[in-house]
Amino acid sequence: MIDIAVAIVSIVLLQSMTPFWWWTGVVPFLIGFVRPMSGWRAFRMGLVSAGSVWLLASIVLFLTTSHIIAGRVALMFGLGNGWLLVPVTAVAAMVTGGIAGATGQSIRSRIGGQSTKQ
Amino acid sequence: MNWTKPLLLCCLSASLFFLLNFKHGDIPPLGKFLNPFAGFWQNSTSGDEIPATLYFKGLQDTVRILWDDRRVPHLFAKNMHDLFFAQGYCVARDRLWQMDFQARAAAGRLSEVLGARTLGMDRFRRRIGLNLAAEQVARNTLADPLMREVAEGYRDGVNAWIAALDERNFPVEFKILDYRPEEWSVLKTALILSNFSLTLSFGNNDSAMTLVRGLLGDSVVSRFYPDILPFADPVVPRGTPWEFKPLPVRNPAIKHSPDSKAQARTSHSGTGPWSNDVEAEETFVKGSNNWAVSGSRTANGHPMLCNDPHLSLTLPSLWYEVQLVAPGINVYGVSSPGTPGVLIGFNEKIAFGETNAGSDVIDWYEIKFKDASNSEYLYGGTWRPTSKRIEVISVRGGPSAVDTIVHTHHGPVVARPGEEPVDPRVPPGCAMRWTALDSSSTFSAFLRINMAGDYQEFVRALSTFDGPAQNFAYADVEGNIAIWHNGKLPLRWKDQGKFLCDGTDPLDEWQGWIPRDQLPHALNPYQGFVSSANQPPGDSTYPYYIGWNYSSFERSERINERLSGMEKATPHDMMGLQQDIVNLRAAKALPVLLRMIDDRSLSAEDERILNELRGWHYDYDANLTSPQVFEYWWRELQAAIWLDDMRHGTRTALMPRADVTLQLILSNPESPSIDNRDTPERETLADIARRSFAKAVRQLKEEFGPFGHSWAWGTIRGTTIRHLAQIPGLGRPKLMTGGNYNTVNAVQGSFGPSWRMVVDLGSPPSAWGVYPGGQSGNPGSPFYDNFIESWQAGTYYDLVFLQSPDEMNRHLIGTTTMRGDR
Repeated sequence: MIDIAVAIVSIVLLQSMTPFWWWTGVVPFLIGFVRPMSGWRAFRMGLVSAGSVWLLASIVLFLTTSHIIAGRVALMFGLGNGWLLVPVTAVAAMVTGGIAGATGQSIRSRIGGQSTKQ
Repeated sequence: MNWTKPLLLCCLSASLFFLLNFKHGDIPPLGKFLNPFAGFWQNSTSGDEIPATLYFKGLQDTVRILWDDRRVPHLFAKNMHDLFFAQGYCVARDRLWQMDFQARAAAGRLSEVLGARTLGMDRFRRRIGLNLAAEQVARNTLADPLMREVAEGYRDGVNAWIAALDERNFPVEFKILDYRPEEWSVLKTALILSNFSLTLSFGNNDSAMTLVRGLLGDSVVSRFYPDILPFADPVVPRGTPWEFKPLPVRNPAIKHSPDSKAQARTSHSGTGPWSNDVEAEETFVKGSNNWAVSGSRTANGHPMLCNDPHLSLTLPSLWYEVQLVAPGINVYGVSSPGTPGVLIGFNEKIAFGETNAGSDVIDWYEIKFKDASNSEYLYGGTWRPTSKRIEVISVRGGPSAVDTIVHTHHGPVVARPGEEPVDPRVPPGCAMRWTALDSSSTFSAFLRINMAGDYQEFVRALSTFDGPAQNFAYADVEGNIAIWHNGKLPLRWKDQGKFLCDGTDPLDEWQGWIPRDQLPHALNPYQGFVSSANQPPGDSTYPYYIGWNYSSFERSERINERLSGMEKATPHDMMGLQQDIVNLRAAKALPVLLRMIDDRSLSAEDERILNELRGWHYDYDANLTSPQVFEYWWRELQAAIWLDDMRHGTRTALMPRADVTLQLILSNPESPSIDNRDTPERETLADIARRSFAKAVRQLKEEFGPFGHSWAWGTIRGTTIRHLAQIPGLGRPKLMTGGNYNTVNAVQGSFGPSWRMVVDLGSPPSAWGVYPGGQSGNPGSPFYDNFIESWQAGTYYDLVFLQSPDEMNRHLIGTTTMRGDR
């Protein structure tokens, strides 16, 4: 849990300070690389942390100021409803975070040979 | 140690990064785009907040911006530099992507950001030299101290906004198309102005007319492609004396015998605009209306001025409303994002509005090259060297395209001999002579019009306006009304430039310019109003030849007919006239055609169709079926009358104009042209009318099912307001609208009244207006398209014309103060 919390806080801070989207991958990768955990747990850590940040952020934006643009972008993508962009946004972050976390862990496990089952 | 799994995962991560970080085809870079912290989610309504105080380096004094409830900025500055700095800042805040995109398009630089798909567009713009024309405009602007202050102030304002941006608040189109805004420059302003020339003054069918003459001969040309258009009610009222001594014009036209030229003509490509049908007519119509009514015809005794320019309807809109106030200027109206000042509007003393003049300012000279290297061309009996300009067009995701453009002293050879041109109006192997490439001070002319306080100042400003030539309507608080067909128009013999010119012969050169005070104009004419709807500027007594292919009579006659009947006109009447959807072509043609249809031979359904037509008042109401039936019938009738006459072997020449067809039907129904030469019998007009009616009805049934509401005018054609870059989802599709390109309310396809304005010249003036869009260029803002419903319904907004920044007005919702650096 602590890994997920650290990842969430890091992603939120880094994304607020910079315009780069790829923190959703870099942060889980680094945590997976630094912290001992299983491949599955590293995947889950990345998926949950990056996914939840983008999911919550997009829900808040949709409910406050971004419903008009979401509706138009949904039309652009051929989706019926702006709401559908919330899960689409979350899935993009989940996949990026999950795979990046698992990648970090797998390199660690090969370099240090320490795959720890918790 | 097994590295398979980490390597596979690394590859997967890298692939995912590649997939999400870069644009693939039309799909934006999804990682960047979906990022809630910097992607499209940030293009929200929060951008609509009005800032209280802003600080800028380079601002000389304080500027106050008062925002009204439609987000129109009213700018109060203490000097010209600061005023236009603020205009640049406000318009960039609302329309940055549009400005950037339009300047890129004009410069032929779209492929840099959109890839190879726009290469044809870019090449065309570079071939015609729009970038060179803009460089000239920019040089002239910077040479004039006042204009330099204005243009540089505007540029600095735009750049102040750009400097404050980061990727989060880039307009959403930059995120979708994945590129960054560029710094603004005076050249970009000039590019946007030059692009107006392409839109408004490039129209010509010199090549198509040459083919007509080559195939069918001079007598057909003079009969069916006349210089004096049938039914025309000219811009300058008939009987207005031409109070000047015209310059002499040399006329060597006799050398153009059709036989000697016919052979050369047929070397031109057989494809082109001369497969002319109703669609083609619509495509080339760039119409607009304006009129000014004298106080003698209005209820309150004030003159009124109205204008509705018919242009592409896009989102973001072509127009941006603004009020500009500083010592020496207080003007309200619409500006073109990217250019300082107001193009259509009013100040405390005068009102002004434009329609496209439609006079011919582009000619094509057939060039005789010495050989395929195109390095020398024949002129005046000697071989002259061409110059060659190399244009390198960067293409995103591909190799740059290199284009060598051949120039003669006439101008650029836009399509090389034998080359398939990218634009059907361009004849291959011909050099282009176009006034838009000459030195121009259009930009300063508009600023001086904005500042003009009376008729003399207005006319002085007009004399520096070169093009694209416009009909300027004018009214002032002193009670004057006027209209000027104005621009830089070449001095030519009759019909010079109606056809391709001989590039080898010095006698074919333009002979100078028509003096500005000899251009068609009228001040306070006896009829108590002036108007224009792109029709011919003068009647047959005007001493100069300036073009022939003007808009047909329908809109201008309707406007004049209705204005003539107004004795106590109100602004409401003016708005009603701008909404008028009666088509006089139908009104003139239909009674004659309907008499020729024999009811006895019709089915019950066809009889119903006919009865609807008989009861129709020629109004193009969106819910009526008759406009659709008439349009189909007319198209079939035109084809039935002309196709057999215009065919020559496998080729078909440009069909005569619709007004010529109408004249034939009404005045000369026995003409041999009516007969279909492809059949052994001799058809009468009644035969042709019956057959074309049957064919039109059959087609309508095939396309739209049985006669009924599915044939309604508004249902079938709809009006689509597309996004400027045609990005799906960012436009407004299929609005139900009435009217067509021949009605005063000229809505057709994606063209139509792009701004409707009515000004009552009281002191100060009162005005009303609407455009189909919104002030914001952000598709995530409610102000992106909030005027469309009013525009569609034909209602207008009160235009808030402030006299002081401290004035109380119920429409004002906030103030921004701009200050110099702290």
